[in-house]
Order: sequence, then C-alpha cells, then structure tokens
Amino acid sequence: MSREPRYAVPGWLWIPAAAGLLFLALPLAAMVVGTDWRHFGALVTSPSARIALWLSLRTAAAATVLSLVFGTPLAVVLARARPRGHRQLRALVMLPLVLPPVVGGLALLLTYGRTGLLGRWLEVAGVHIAFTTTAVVLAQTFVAMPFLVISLEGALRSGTGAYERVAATLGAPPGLVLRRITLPLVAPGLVSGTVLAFARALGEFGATLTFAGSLQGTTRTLPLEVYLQREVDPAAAVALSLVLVAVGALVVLTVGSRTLGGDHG
Amino acid sequence: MADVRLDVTLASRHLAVGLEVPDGEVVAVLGPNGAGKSTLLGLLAGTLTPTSGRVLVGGRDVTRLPPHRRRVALLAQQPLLFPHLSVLENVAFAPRAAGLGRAAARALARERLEVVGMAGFADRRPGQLSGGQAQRVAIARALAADPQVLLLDEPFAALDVAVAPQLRGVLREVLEGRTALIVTHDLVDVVTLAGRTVVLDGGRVVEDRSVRALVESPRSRFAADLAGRVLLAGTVAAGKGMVRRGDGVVLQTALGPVAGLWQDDTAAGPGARALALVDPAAVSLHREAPDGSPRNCWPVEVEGMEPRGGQLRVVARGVTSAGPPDGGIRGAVDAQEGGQDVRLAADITPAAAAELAVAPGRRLWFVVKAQQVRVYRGH
Repeated sequence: MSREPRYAVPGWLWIPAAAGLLFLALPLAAMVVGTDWRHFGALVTSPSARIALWLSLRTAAAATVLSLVFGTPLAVVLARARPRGHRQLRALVMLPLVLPPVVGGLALLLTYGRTGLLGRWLEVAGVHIAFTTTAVVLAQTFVAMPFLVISLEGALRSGTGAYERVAATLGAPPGLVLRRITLPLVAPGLVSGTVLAFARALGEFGATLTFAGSLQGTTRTLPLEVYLQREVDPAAAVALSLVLVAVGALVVLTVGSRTLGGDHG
Repeated sequence: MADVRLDVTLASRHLAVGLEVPDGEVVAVLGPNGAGKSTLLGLLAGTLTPTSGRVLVGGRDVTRLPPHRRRVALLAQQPLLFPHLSVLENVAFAPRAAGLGRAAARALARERLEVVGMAGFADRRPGQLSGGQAQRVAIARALAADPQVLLLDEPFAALDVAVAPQLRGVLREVLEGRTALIVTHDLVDVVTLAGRTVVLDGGRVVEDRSVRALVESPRSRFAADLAGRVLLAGTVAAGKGMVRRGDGVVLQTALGPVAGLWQDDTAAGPGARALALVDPAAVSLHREAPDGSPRNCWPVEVEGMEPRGGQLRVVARGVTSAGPPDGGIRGAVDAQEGGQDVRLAADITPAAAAELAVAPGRRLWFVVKAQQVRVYRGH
C-alpha cells in the first residue's frame, strides 16, 4: 500500500487539537504524579487489593467467555441471516452501550432479583443470583457483550459475503463456511471485540454495585475496591487505579487504536 | 458433466427465461447491462430462488437446493481466492468439503494447479499473486470441485488486456467437453470459447443460436453491435411478390427504403418483417449523393469517430432534411418518422476522413451497394 498524501490542515486547528489532547492526557499525568511510589508495591499487593484483583480477573474472564459464546452467534445472525427487523434488533443490542450502568444494574435486579421477572421462579428453584459472584458476571456480560457484537458485526458486514458465496458454490455447507471462511476472515474483528469486551467487563462499576453489591471476595471487584478505598485510604485508591490504567493502556496498544477507530467500517 | 434445463421466472428482476444446454456444450450468455445475465447465473448457482419454474442439472431438480448441494461452480470476475489460505489450500478447499482426506485433497489440488500452469505457486498466499495468476488459481479451484456445470461471469473483465489471451487459452482447454455458461461482453470470448450464444434483453432470451449464425445474421441490436455491424429493422416493400434467396428486395425502415439482397432460406412476401444488415466496411462517404444504381444513399449527420484497425469508424445518425436528388434510392425522400434515431456506421481510411473533413455535426451521404446489404427474416 502506498502512503496517502498528507492532507494539509489549517494552522489554527493545532491549538484546539492540542487543548483536547491535553484535556485527555492531564488527568493521567496527575495520577502518575499523585501516586505514592514509595509504597506502591505494598499498596497494590495488600490482601484486600489482591482479593479484589483476583475476583475482577475471574469475573471479567467469565463475562468475556459468555460474551463470545452468545455474542458471536448473535453477530453472525444479525449480519448474515438478517431476520425481520434486524435494524431494530441491532439498536437493542447497542442499548446497553449508551445506558447508564446503574440503570443496567437496576434492570438486571428487576429481572434476576428475588422478586424479579425470572428471579421469583429461580427463587422457587432455590437459585439466588443477586448479590453473588454470578451477579457480577451477569452485570459485566450485560455491558460487555454489545462491544463484541457490534465489533464483530461490523467486520462481518465489511465484505466477506462474496467469499462465503464462492465457498458455497464449491460445495461447502453453511457450517463449514462459517468455520473455515467466515470466522478466520473476521478474526481481527473478533480479537478486537473480545479484548474490548474484556476491558469493559474489567472496568464495570455501576451495574455491579447496583445488582451485586460490594462484598469482599464475592462481589467487590477492583473498581469497587478503588471506590471504597478512596474514602479510607486515598493513596491505595490511586495506586489501584493506576493498575486499571495500565490494563487499559495494554488493551489499547494490543488491539491498536486502528481497530478501535473503526478502520474496517 | 451434465445437461442443464431451466425454465424459470423471477418476478423481482422481471426475468422469464427458458434455456437448455446439452451435456458438454459451452454457451455464451450475452446482452446489454441489466439484461439479466448475472441473475440467470444466480438462479443456476442457487444464490437466487425463482418465483416459478424449475432448474434441472443432469436431470436432478435443483430448484430448491442450496448452492452447496448443486454441483454448480461459479467463476466470477474477481478471483475471490480465500486470502487466509495458501494457493494449495484454496484449491483443496472443495475436495475437503466433499469429504476427501487432507492428503488426497492436496494431491488433487496439485493436479488441478498443474492444469492451469500454477503448480509452482502452491505455497504462495493469494496476496502474492498477480491478477492473472490469481484467476488461474480460481479456475483450478472451481475445477477441483468437480462441478457438473461451470458458470463463468466475465472471467477476464478485471484482467489486464495483455493477460487475457493466455488465460483464454487455459480456459479453452479446461472447458473442452464441459457444460458451461459464460457471461461476456467480448466477441473474442464468444468465438474462442463458446459453440452457441444466447442473447438476453430485458430478462428475456432474444436470440439463441450458433455463434456463426449470430454474427452472420444477428437479430438483435446487441448482437449486431457485437459483430460490428449495423442492423436496420423494417418490412418488405410491395413489389414483385414473393422474394427468395438471392433476390433483390426493398425494405421500408425508419430510415426510408433500404435495398438489399434476400439471404434467407424461407421466402417472404410484402409486409413481412425483415432485417437489413450493413457492414460498415462496405459503406462509403460522399459530400453529394452520387449517381448510379442500385445504391442506398442515406443523408446523415456525423456524431463521432473512433479508430478501428487502421481505419476510422464514422458513427452517424440518419437525417431527413436533405433534398431529393435523382438516381438511386433516396432515403430522404420518404423517410418515416424516427430516421434521426437510426444510427449508422462507416469504416473509411484516415485520408478519406481528412479529405471529407469529417467532424461531429457534419452532413454527409452514406452510400452502400444493394448487393452488400444482407436482408433476412426478422421477428
């Protein structure tokens, strides 16, 4: 690929652009400056921090797996089978992305809570979900899965259809086409969607607090721990926040700002 | 291989086509853009389902079968090699899908690559191939599926003109004895690859004949264009009664009377629909209507010129305003409405064009001898 000629921007545009960048970067710098580096190691390895981090990693991983297992088929069906009203369905899938997380948590509570839509029947069966680790996973899945679906659906719609048709005329049934043609071709979209979903799950706060509460070792994930420590031990809160920033930075760098920017759209 | 029988309609594309292709025949599907050529291939490949009618391949009713169960392979304009698979894996894809083991599928793929002269590229990625090489691999991949019918949708359209001839040679070899339909806009494809032609227009078959018959006496404007001829439609004028092969005949056309020779095995009487075929190479250009008969003299207005094998093709449309000089058959005299809509062409030397100062808008006379106008039954 040849490099595209650079588009000349008017000189004054640099000023608001720089201001915008500064606005985004300054808080991060403040966090690095504000960290108590001398006790950093001790702060991020305190028992409560380790418990929270471990819980976060486990629940975020579980939420990512759930997102993959249900989100991948959902994206394929939306992009390929185009069921009646697929536009509305896509909007529905995107809704959790724009919903305030606390509202999402409330909605989950009304569904799986003790007196919720499904919860009352689950209660009869002896299954409790609200305020358990399962609730944490459900809350994270609720906000993370849309990232995977939208990212994957975008990749699917950006032109693998012609290859799939050729594969079919070569005698490949739909299952084989999906496995050997579609999924390998959208692998980049699948990877970036997965990483995004994991990052979103890891950062989940509002829905988790509302639906799962803040029980150490059971539902208190790292973001909740940060919020709690902010009152008790601000230095610990900042140090733990920096851990989350590091994870976020890792995600952005691995997925690449390229795919995040929707370069394949 | 197998024969194809199809008699279908597809309401959403205004298509109603009946077609039979015997086992081992290659049919060229021609027609203007939007005529339904690709729709026809889609109905055969199974990417489209007809509103009514049936599609039979080798006697099997495949009308409701999904593409992967039809054994109809499609070669498109773009090679569409799977970018994440090697050349060998691309060609081995169909045999693997058919249930062949990995080793056997690869052996078969190597054989097919050999046929198209790409054996040395087995381990390459599609991205490392040129357009022509990729299309060769696509041919091998389609062959490896062992299809009963091969569909080719303008297989050379996306290729360099320098590459197309070689690939046409490859395709000519592999199509030998196969049942195939090839959609094309290129007369060279038709002549080298096909034995029979089907011309579609507006979702209907307007011609279905041998290649030779098509270029000798085309019945559609499209086929005449393809053969580089001008076709004039009209009716046999009242005169000596029935005309038979070799007789002189006059047609009433939008351009006025057109004199030619009746070249049809069946005789025709006055009022019969007929077509006159004019070879632009036989047309000469004059400033004034020349004397002498029997000639056709048509007043025209030049629209443009294009180079054509050392000659210049002058494209012009008929005009009705010229005066009626005597001698010969004067198109202008009783030209009917619509003479302006008739497009004519003449091939002349660049020297003649310069001498006549041919330019768009210039009024000239097109002159052609009656003996050089082929007239035959129309429809």
